[in-house]
Amino acid sequence: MESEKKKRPARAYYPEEVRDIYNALTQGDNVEQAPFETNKDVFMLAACMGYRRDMRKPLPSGKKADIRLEVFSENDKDILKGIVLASGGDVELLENFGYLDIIEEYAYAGIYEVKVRLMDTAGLALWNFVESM
Amino acid sequence: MKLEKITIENFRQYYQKQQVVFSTSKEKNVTVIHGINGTGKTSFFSAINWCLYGGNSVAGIGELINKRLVEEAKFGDSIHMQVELAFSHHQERYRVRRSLSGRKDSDSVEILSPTEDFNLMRIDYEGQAMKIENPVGQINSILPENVRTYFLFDGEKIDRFARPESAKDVKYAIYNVLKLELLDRARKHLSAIAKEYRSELKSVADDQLKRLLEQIDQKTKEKENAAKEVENTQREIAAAEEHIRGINEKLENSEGVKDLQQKRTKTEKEIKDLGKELITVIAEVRTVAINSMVAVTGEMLPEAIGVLDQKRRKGEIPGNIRQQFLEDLIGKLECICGRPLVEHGEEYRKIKSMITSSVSSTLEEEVTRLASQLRVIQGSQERERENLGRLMARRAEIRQTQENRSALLSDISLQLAESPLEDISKLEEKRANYKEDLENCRVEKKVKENEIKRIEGEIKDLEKEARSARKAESKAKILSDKMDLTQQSADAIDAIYANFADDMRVKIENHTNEIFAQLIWKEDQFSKVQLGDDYKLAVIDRWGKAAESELSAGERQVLSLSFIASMAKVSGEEAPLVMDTPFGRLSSAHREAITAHIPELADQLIIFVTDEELTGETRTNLLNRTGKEYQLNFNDATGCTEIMSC
Repeated sequence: MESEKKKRPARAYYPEEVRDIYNALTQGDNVEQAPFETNKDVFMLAACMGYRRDMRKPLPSGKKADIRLEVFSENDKDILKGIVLASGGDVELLENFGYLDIIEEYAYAGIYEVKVRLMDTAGLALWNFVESM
Repeated sequence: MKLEKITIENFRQYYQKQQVVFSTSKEKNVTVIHGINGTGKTSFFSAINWCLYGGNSVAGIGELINKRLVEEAKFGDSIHMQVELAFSHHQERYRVRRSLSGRKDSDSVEILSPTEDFNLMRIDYEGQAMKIENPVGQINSILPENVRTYFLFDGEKIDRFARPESAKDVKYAIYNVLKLELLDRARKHLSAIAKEYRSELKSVADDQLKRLLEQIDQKTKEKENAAKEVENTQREIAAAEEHIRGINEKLENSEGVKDLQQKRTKTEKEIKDLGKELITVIAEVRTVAINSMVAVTGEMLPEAIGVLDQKRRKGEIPGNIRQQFLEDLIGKLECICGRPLVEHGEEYRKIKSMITSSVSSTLEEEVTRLASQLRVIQGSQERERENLGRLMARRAEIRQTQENRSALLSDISLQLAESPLEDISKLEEKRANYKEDLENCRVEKKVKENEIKRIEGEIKDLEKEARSARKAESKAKILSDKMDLTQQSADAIDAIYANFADDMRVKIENHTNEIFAQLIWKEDQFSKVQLGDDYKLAVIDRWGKAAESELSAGERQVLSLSFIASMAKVSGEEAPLVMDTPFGRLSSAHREAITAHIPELADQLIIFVTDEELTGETRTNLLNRTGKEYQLNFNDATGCTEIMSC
């Protein structure tokens, strides 16, 4: 049964159009302004934020940026799986990176929320981030 | 080209196969073919043309096949006509054969579906034949069709070049025979290519790269200027710090304010240390915040754990234990409560469906692991949150302490500024100014450093664009080089063409002059032959005037012949002169002069003559140089001609 399932690539995708937000939150030497070290961390926050706001958005066709799944820690992956289960996803999605489809939709919708809360709100991104928790 | 042999088969009045071997000897280079009017001299001449160049070269193509052959053939018989020429050219021997085949249609001379066949064979030294795949092209490279009429010519039209209106013909003759046409074609072709390159270049090249490089230069200068300003500001910062250190020392050594200054130094150090600690705290906050970002999801963890627990409670997980248990019940047909299970009954179906909806063992392990791991994360989240709270509290504490210490410094500064000792207050005033300079410089330095970063980003983007533009320009450069080279070649050929054409014209003029002087009997009446820029062939009389209108038909023929012979000589082509009844219009004086010299003017001379043309000294002149001689005999009864060797 497992072999019949279509395996998706072990990568997490986000649309090219939101790459600037990822860059703004990871690039620069001011930790308070760009608090994240990797795009993976921004993606995780975006997925968490998307879940929190119950917002999912299918990825548009066209160019996409991607993050290899090896970059995610086991904890990260478990959190993402937890999000899928908590949002009503079937346990079978835990196999063959099936959970990533839902997560990418949360992250795509969530990244705009990240931008609003961390970047567009008065104050520095790090403290806005802590505040949002 | 030197003709060796011709085999004519059923061509016009030549019935069946007949052969003529031409003289190829250097000394006796003349082949004379005699025949009275109507015996087939022109047909023989046509056979040579047809064999080499096909239908377009011969008039009356519909009547090429021997009438006797058609007459004798029965309805449906196949009919075959063929001319084969053996010749040599540049030490190679060739055999060219053209034939026409068909079937007789009823009683008419028409033939059904005539097919023309054309073959060119090269014969090696062992006599082996090799078929040449492109016979038309090969024949044209040996003796081009557009020059054939200058070598294989009809005596009746021989005066064409000497007619006043023939300048164009003369020019074409020179161009064609001397292959100037090739140069002209090359020149036109190269110019056309250069034009094509030019238009392609327009579409590829613009000054984008140049503009980008200028922008990069400009940005690099801006960056250098900003770097210089950073350097200057840094020097100013160092100088201000040095001044402040000096003032600090003076204050520390001044009685009365010594303690105050020491307190200030201590407080400044505290603020500095707090700053360092704050950096560490911020870094820790970042790490902890990232590690605990799952908090953003609110109640996600308990919900996910709840989902998994619920599945477990329902007995769906772990699947294998549940599955085995259910299968046992089905096997025994007995429920857990001890009641029997009726096969296909309601309870039975319910248990069956539970078996099929169970999860796979790998997934089951994953679900079990995840349930426990999410609990671990939940537990650690609480610790991380406590940690984050502690760090945030410390940050607030540091910031508060920094603020307090800063207020203390202001207070100290105020006390010193208001000191009754003038030196002290002045020193403090200076110190305050340097402090302000220092702050301004630091701001300025940061601004400039950011500017440098921005410029660096812009340069990077411009370089990326320049790389693409460079690729386009390298294509443009190649095109431009090609265009220049092509145009230069076209110009060079143009120059060669003009010089060569002029040289050739002068050479032909000189040769025509020489030959004309040999051939004309009224030598004293004409001073020279002129071939001007306008390619008009003219004879200048002894009074220095053009004598065109005074030239007799015979004299025009001699002039034309002189021109043809001189072209043959100047072209350097090895080509035969095949002349069909050339002396018909000439008086005996001209004939004698011509026959005395013409064998020397060509490598091979094949001449078709009537007996009237060849008498007396004319005959003697030619026969001295004749290697082969044939007689064409027309048979009135059959309407066919037989070729006899003399």
